[in-house]
Amino acid sequence: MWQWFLQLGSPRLFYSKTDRYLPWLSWITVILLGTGLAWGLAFTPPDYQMGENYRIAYIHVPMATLAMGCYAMMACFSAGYLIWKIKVADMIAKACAPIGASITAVALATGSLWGIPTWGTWWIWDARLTSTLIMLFLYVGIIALRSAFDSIDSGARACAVLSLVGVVNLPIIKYSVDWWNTLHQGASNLSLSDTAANPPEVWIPAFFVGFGVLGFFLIALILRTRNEILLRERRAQWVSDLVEGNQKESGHA
Amino acid sequence: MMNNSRMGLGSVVVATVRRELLLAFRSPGDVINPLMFFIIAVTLFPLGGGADSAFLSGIASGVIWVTTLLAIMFSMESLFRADYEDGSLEQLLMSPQPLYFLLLAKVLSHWLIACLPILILAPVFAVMLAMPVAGILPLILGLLAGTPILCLLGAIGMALTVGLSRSGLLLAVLILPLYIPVLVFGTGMVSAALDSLPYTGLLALMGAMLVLAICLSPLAIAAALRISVN
Repeated sequence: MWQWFLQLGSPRLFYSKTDRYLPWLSWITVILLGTGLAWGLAFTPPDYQMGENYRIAYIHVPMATLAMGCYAMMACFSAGYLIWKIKVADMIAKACAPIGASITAVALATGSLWGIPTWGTWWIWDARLTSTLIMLFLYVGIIALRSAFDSIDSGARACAVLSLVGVVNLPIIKYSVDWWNTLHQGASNLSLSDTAANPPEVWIPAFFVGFGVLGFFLIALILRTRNEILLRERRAQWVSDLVEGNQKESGHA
Repeated sequence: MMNNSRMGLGSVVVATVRRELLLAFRSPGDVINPLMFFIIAVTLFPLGGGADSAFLSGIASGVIWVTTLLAIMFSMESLFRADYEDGSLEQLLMSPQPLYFLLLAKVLSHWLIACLPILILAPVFAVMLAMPVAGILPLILGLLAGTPILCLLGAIGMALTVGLSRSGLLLAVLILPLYIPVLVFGTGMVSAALDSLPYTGLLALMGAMLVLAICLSPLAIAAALRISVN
């Protein structure tokens, strides 16, 4: 187990290992997403209160969950980079930021679209919406900080520190926004995830889509990390061998 | 500077604070500019939003808190920038004294220089914004507990960006999201007091955040400075 972990720390081994896992992961993701989305969007019965509208939850809920998970993941890899100086950890953390920001944006956008038919408004300053918006700001800050540095190494370390500061702050922000919301608006009970009322044919596709989206996230993360590896190791022998090999292959084809 | 390897911790902290205060009073812009920013920005709200006192009293605590927060953020530049340029920041990092306390001393002096004047004027502007008298005490207590947190968090952001040539707006993007809890609890104390609810619990929360910030943020500031000075 430990050996495997250390091997993934080497950019070259990360590249060759993921080469083997990626096709499997992609097929599993396609099957999960295809089944889940087709089932959820076309075949599950409409909700007795929200009608067809609730189907957006199949996209919205996994995105909103992943948005938070991605931040935690970024912070873990940042810590890994700061503590053990694992280069791949920083490359993964770097890949997390734009993916996390777009997932958060999709969660907000789908939430907004869902808000119109169900709540009658695009946006309310609800605690969950507000803290998701703030999380988007945190992601944007990390991306902006990284792009401001010329030196890859300083940028990496600065972003790692900022991610860790953010992860300490995130619960405080979440708590403060929850509290703020209950003070300023009467507690409007907007809980939409009343799982008890949902029959299995509603939540099983959600389960499929959830894992499918997770797979999609991992694929995007791995691809981005691989690009970053190639970019940073472009002077290494194995990368030029790889490029030559690819050129030969396409030459034969 | 003096040979400080034999100095006690207390005298080093005092010496750091004295140095910072002396530097500030020799270039008084560092003291006056945040204050003037605060005064002018607060004045803009009645001009832009209308001088109706019912409207003003509704936004008074928010305006004062947001303006204070922005003033502190803009003032952070003077905390490390000059030291970075003349090399005294490197000396600070190489000092045999514990960096943790040196950084706390620097942030404390920054608070004295940039925040204390704002704190003194805040009640005056609260009255000008038609805030009821019951809200003034929680406003001041909240600012007293909250502005050091803002300075400590701002110092993290400034330490991360001090090596970059133009960092003003980047600093805002980095640290304004982190300022949100202080803003929420600070304005919450005032609204609680105006609804004749107890606000001591919120003040205690603010104090807890201050303790957390004092414990942890010097570590982050030190790590960030080591990256920037490199």
